[in-house]
This record gives sequence, C-alpha cells and structure tokens, in this order.
Amino acid sequence: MEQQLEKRTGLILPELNDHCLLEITKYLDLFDVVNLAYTCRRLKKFADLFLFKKYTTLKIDKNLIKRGFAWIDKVFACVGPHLVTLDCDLEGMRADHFWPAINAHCTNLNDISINGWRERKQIDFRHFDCFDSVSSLSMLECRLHQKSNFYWTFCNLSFLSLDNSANGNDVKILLSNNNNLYSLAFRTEKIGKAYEIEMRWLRMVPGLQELRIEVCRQDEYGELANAVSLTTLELWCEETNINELLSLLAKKNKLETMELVSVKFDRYTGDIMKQFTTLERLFVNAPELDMYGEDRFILTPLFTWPPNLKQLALVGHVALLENLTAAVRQMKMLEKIDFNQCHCRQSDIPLYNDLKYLCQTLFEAMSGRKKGTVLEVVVPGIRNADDKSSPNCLFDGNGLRLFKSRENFDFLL
Amino acid sequence: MSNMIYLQSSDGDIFETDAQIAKCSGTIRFMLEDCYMGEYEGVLIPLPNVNSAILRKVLKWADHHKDDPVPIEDDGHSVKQVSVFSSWDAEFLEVDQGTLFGLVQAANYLDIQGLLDVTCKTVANKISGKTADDIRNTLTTNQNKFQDFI
Repeated sequence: MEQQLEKRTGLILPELNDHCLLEITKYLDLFDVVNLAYTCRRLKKFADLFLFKKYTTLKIDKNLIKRGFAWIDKVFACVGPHLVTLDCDLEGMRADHFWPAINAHCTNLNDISINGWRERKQIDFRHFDCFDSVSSLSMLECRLHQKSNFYWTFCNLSFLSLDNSANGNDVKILLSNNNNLYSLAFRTEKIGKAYEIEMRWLRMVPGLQELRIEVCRQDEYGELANAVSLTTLELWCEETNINELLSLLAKKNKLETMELVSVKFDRYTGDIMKQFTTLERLFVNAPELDMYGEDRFILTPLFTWPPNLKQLALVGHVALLENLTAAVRQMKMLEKIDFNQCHCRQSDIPLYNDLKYLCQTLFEAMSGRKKGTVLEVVVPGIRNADDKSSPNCLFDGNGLRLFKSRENFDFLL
Repeated sequence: MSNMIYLQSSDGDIFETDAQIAKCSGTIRFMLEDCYMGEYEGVLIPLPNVNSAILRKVLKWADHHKDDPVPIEDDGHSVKQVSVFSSWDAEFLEVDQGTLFGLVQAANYLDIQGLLDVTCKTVANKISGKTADDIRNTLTTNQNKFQDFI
C-alpha cells in the first residue's frame, strides 16, 4: 500500500527544476545530455537550454564519428542550432557522412577549423547553406576530392587559413567569392603553378590586411606588390634578393607587423628598411647556411632600421655587440629587442658575458630616449653562464630590463 | 551550548534539531543569522517545500556530516568527475527514485551543497552511458506519470 502511494506521488526526473537538472548535468558528458533530450519534452527543453549555454563550440573527433550517422544526426539536432564554432579533427577517419547533418541543423556557424580531412567520395556541397554565415575557415593538411566543390560554398569569409589543403584553383575560387577577406594565410607546395595561370589573386581582395605566405618565389613577387592594405605580413621567402619586393611593399602598404623567414639581408637592405615608417614589430629569421658554407651577412652598425620600430627580433644573424647598440641608438621607440638566437663571434662573447660592461654600453646607447620608457633586451652569450638557478632577468633598472633567455619573452605573431 | 530549533515539514511534522546541524543548510543559516539576528533558541522554521520523509533523511545526512569541512566552490564550467563517495553516503542513498529526486530537490531548496553533490552524482551515475529508452525505463518507476511529459 505504502509502496503504491510512493509510486503515485514520488518525484520523477522531469519534475525536478532546472537548477537541480543543471547540477546533475555537471556530471554528464555531451552524449548523456543528448540522450536525456530524447526522453521527453520537458528534458528536451532543459537540454536545449543547457546545450545553448554550454555547447557553442563542438569538437568533432573520433569519439563522435565512430558512433555512426544516426548518432551524429542526433547530436547535431540538439547542438547544431546553437553551434558557433566547429573544430574538426578528422585525421585518419572516414568522416564524409557527418556533413549532411551539419547542413541540416547548423544555422549559426561562424568559425570552422578542419584538420586531416580526406574527402574520399565527392560530396555535393552546392546546396549547402550552413556555411553562408562562416567568417573564419582554417584547413590543415586536408585532401579534398579532385572535383570537390566544398570551397564554393563559402561567401562571407574574413579569415582564411589554408595549410597544405588547397590548390591554386581553390584559392582563386575562395578569393573571388570572398572579396571582404581581411586575413589570409597559406602554405602549399603546389600553389605556384596555379598562380602562373591566375596571378591577380591579391587584386580580388583589396581590403586584405593580414597575409601569411610560406614559400614565396621570385615569380610571385610581382603579385605581392599588388597588396595595398597590408598591416601584417609574414613571408617565408627563399630567394636571394628580397630588396626589390621589400621596396614595393614599403611604398604601397602601411605595414605594422612584418615577419620575414629564411630571408637574406645584404648591404642594400638597410636603405629599404628605413622606408617602413609605420612598422612597429619586425622579426627576421636568417636562412640556414648553404652547402658551400657561405658566411652569413654580418650586420654593420650602419645598417638602418625602420625608425618607429617597437619590437625587433633577429634569429640566425651574426650580431655583434656594436650592432645591438647601433640598433638601440637608432630606434628611440624600441620596447623589446631580441638578439638571443643570433650568432656572436668568439671575440664578442666576453663582451656579452660582462654584465657590467654590457649595461654600461646599453645605457650609453639609450641616451635620448623618452623618460619613463622601458627597454627589454635579450642577448646571446650570457645564457652560457650555465647557472640554471639564476633568474632569467639579469638586470632591471633605469629603464632597462636585460634577459638571458627567450622564456618569458613572447615576441610577435 | 547547544541551541535547539524546530523545523516544520510541508505536511506539518515538527523536527527538533541542533541549530549547528541545521546550519549546514544555507537557507536555514540565512534565516537564523539574518532574520533572527543570532537569537534563535527554540524558533520554528517552516519548510513548505520539504516533506517529513525527506526532511528526516536530510537531517540524518546533516548530522553525519556536521564536522565536514566547508566545500570549495567550483567554476561550474568543466564536467565534474564522478568520484567515489563515502560508503556511508552510498548506503544512505540506496533509496527509491522518488526519495532520491526528493533529496536532490530538498538539497537544492535548502542550499546544502554537499548533499546536492552526492545526490546529483548518484542520479548522474544512473543516467550516464544509457540510451534515451534506458533512461526512461530505469529512471522512472512511475511510467504513467512520465507519460505526461512525453
């Protein structure tokens, strides 16, 4: 009798208020919450609210993929309408089947990143409208079907990153459909050939402000010179003469940040560098030594730097102490200078290791700087002191902070 | 010195309990300290949302945990770990589902975080890994009542 009464009056799960249900869901994963949503209307309503608040970002990985299409559709039916960010890690998986579920349920996607997708069977993306709202697309090591029309579906991109995931034709399509592109990054080994067919790709995106391009050949320089709105440029360039390109870039753009990788300076580069009057952050990574053992270009103290630079980092150059002091003397706005990964000559090592002498020399070079500003300096040599227990910061005072290693020294980009 | 107070359940039963034990409930502590300004010897607190069966269980749990340290608040973002809780708690929560959900609701109303944690963990353990049908079958002894929500 008592048991029957209990059965009639006892609380059941859907009768709990939202706060109680929320406490319970803290111990559940996404799949459990999706299952709850399919038990009854009340729990569906609660799950929707919970998923709306908690799952605006979804990671698609093997945990989800291995559950099969029916499950994926179920999950997207619950989560899809709220999803803003989709993070797909599809390395080594057959993952073509989840795209229709995304298209059926996602209406607010803004940010998609895909890693390792292999489009084995061509999917017809032409009627997909779930990507209309996407403004950021990042593809890493994806191999799309030869006739894939995946890239055709994006039309509102502001940020695009293609890392070994697209050919020249894909890029052409993406740029011609997304004229408002703000940021573009790509790295691919096959792209050069396509550019020969369509070299005017930068003209399609006149508002482009950030460009990161890896492996740039001399025949593409002309195209890069069409960039007119760049504020950030990251260039991996293996050609011997970059001066002409730098000169064109300086004339047409108002660059604030520039990262040059595998770039060789020569005695004429300094004259061009001073033309970058708006540049605030510069990172230059010298190429590896070539097979003939050709020495690196040694900066001379007369090398001129962009006048308004705030951060400068050099990697792999031969930098003598007098180069450091000359740079500090030239750039009165400088806040950080990192020579830590530069090479120094045997004769220069004692100078770098003599802390007192180093500080004295830097203070002399810093004369004329605005009072109250602080200059952070990271130098080579001192790290050879082999005292791991000593702090990274070797000196701090009178507007100078001297570090011995790169740690705690985040440089640009 | 022990301060005895009285708690009245929704069905009218009155329970005498030590104020220190009752104060594990944030709701009661607030009433005693703010409404009665600390002078609460012998006061009667009505608890219209908790029936006598549940209140009896709650007081039993509170008595057993009266010396527990104050729990640390979590950030509420990450999925909590379903950890093993004490054997006493496990035995205490071997109850029918109506009572278990009643305890969840009471712990929430009375603001007893420790009890809310163990009861919610117990419910979550029953849900975790089950399909929607399984949840419907195992978590609802009262299928007729459940039909109203479908």
